[in-house]
Amino acid sequence: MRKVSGYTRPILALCALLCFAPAVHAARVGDPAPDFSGTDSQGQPHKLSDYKGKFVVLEWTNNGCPYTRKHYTSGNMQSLQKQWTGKGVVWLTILSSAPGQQGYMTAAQENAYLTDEHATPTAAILDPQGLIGHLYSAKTTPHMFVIDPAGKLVYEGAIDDHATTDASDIPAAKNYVTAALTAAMAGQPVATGYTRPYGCSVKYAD
Amino acid sequence: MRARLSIPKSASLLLVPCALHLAAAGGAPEEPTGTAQHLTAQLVVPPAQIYPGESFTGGVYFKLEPGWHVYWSNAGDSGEPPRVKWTLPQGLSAGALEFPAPRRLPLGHLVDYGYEGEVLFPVRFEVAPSFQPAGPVTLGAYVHWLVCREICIPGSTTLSVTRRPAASGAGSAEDAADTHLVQRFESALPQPLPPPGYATFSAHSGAFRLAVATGRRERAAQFFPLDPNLIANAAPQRAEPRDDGIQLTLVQDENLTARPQLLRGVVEFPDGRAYAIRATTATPAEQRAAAWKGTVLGVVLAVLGGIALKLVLDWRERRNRRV
Repeated sequence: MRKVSGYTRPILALCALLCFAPAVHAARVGDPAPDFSGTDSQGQPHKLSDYKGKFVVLEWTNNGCPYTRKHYTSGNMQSLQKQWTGKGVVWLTILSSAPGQQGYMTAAQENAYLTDEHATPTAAILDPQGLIGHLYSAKTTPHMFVIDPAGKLVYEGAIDDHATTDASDIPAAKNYVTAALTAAMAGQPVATGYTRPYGCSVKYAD
Repeated sequence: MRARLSIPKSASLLLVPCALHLAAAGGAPEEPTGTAQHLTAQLVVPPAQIYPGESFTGGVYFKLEPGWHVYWSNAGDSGEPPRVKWTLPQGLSAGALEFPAPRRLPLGHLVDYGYEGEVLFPVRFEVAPSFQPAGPVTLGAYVHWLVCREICIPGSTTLSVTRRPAASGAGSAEDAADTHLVQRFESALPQPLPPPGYATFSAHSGAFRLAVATGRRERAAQFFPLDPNLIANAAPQRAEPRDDGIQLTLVQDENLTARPQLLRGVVEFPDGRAYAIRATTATPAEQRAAAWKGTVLGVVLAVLGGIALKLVLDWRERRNRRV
């Protein structure tokens, strides 16, 4: 057994590596979407599991981020919200910016922003502690998730395939959220379930 | 109150022509340098004259304010690399931007890949044998970038330089400062592994083991993946010295479903050496050589590793459910 002792350090190193590796993806495509609860900018509570039976879109946002602005100044995000909530999809915009960070909004500020931008998500959930953000390992704004009526995560990643801040790229871009919802609603498998999200880093407290 | 942080549509609005002057012969205005928010961009073209059939290296140079960064070709968890659209005279062509070895840029629980301080992206120019313009020519570059610190700001500028044509290379001259600048960053470009170097990888329960043979014992190294979505960028990379190089354990991206055929990227050593590698799947013999000596111990370690992984995954799940 003495020979084994030489391997104690590698074993410890391996354990250390695994134990301290950050939870890069807490939610994985194909698995059940982790349940969460939060309060929206109107003061209303929301719980993901209450939306079983419906498609749910999660959209991470930060209105100071140029990538988010690309999709709001162009009206692209608003039209997606309108299109899909019109088809019964629950669209939850989530703000995980910490107080003092870019994109942090009080309830009143967020309500004014939604009105100004003519944005119509089902709700804008205020997550200044980043609890929902960390639960989903939301990395960027925007970072999009699509959850099916069974509560399974069917898409995670970028909003589209043009990873730029240039709004003129939107017409030619393939929108992954639209593709995922269209396929899943037709009972088809989602062809692209995961892409690298693009945007600004989420401005968490830590 | 950051409700309406306004960011200019294009940082070129803020562009200050630093070196605006009229080229003596042609009268075309030159703007080799543009100053924008948090950086200065410069088009660097060392030759004073351009002649048929030559090739030379220039580049796009960024000088950044402290704390701000621009990105590598794979930006990591967020961000995007700079891009250039060239406007060049007939007979002159530019290759793609080349990317010097990057640095890890930790940002909370994310890791991006890029550059702080300053960087030049070398570009190879080719001049056709038929190059025979009537007068001075202008090389134009529309440069677009994303510059980030805690926040990100996209910017763009149009840069240009004017050069006189020459019939041949006889008596050709270069701007010494520009040449030095280009060479400094050309030398930071990843090189091929020195022969008989090689790189192989194998996949093991959520990790890649990447073996890089450089011909000497290496104590530490950092791998930068060329392709996104293969490894967890923020995860630590465990390094194990080997007699002929090093082995790195890279945590896989958890959304990875298909095993890649290639692991392409850059391996950087603490002394500044950087190699471009295309690691192929290791043969069983190579895997055995790269792995632990002794099958029994290997199995023991695999079981221990599996238990550790299971514990961690369970722990993660429990932690995640608590929210």
